[in-house]
Amino acid sequence: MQTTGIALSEHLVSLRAAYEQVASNAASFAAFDSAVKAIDWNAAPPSAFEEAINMALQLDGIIIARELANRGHEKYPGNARLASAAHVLAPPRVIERNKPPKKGLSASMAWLGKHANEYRRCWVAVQNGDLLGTAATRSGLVEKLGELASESNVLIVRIP
Amino acid sequence: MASPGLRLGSGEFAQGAIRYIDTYPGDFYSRIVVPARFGDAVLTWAIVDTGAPWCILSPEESRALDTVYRTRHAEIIGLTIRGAVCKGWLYRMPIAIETDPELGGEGITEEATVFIPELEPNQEWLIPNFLGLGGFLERIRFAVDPESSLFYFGAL
Repeated sequence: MQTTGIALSEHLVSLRAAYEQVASNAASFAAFDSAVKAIDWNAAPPSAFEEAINMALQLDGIIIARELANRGHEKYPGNARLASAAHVLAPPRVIERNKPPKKGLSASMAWLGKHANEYRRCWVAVQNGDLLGTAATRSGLVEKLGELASESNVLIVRIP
Repeated sequence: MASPGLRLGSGEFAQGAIRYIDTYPGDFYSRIVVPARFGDAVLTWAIVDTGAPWCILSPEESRALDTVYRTRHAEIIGLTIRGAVCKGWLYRMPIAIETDPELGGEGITEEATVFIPELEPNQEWLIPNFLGLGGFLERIRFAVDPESSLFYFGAL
């Protein structure tokens, strides 16, 4: 990210213009990326970070949004909006590596592969390859299943 | 626990595997559909999609989680899905891919970023759940064996 001597406000105008162009498919994402890189973020207020993060997210520019959120949070640690963005946009991280296997998951997936088309537009519950029940809503199905619904290998899915 | 046995080079590549199905009802394309647990409570199915910027969880399933995504630590965005812009929340939650004793290995849980759609009154959500490259798959190893319909995964 460069300092060009041009006022930040002018760079933000260019960034907004690049965003509009990319959003309307008149330019490639590289135009937005370049406009972000032209800004001296060391001199940017929190509102500029927030606006740029929002624009990057609308363009599915995850990496840029993540970088801006981190940088903004580092610079303004007391800003709640930037702290929240840095938290939500952080790269995923493994928090558990040794989860015990769940009995019958493969059988339940095999059941779905074979029978899902017979239950279109229904919620179904499957355990160990057996159909436990169906309902029009997830909450209705969970109510119907009672305690069984909370067993760790009960697969509850909506068939579209 | 027996390992599912996928090794590449000198090291173990995968710590677990799960059987996937290769079609999704109503969809004309080949898919990789795996069971996935969102949060602690929702064991559902989701399509593995390396082109998806985020994971997606349906609103009805999101309601089953004890989340406060509308008010706390969430980003509201518009996500273009199948040509339409959907408004919703980006929220941080655990997602687990689990194994089966018949296949061996161990499951994995990641703290991931998930898009939860915000529907208009009476709007129905018809999009499947997704495990996206962004926010989830980008930090694990994964591989697919179409011959045995196995999805292999492992921590970095």
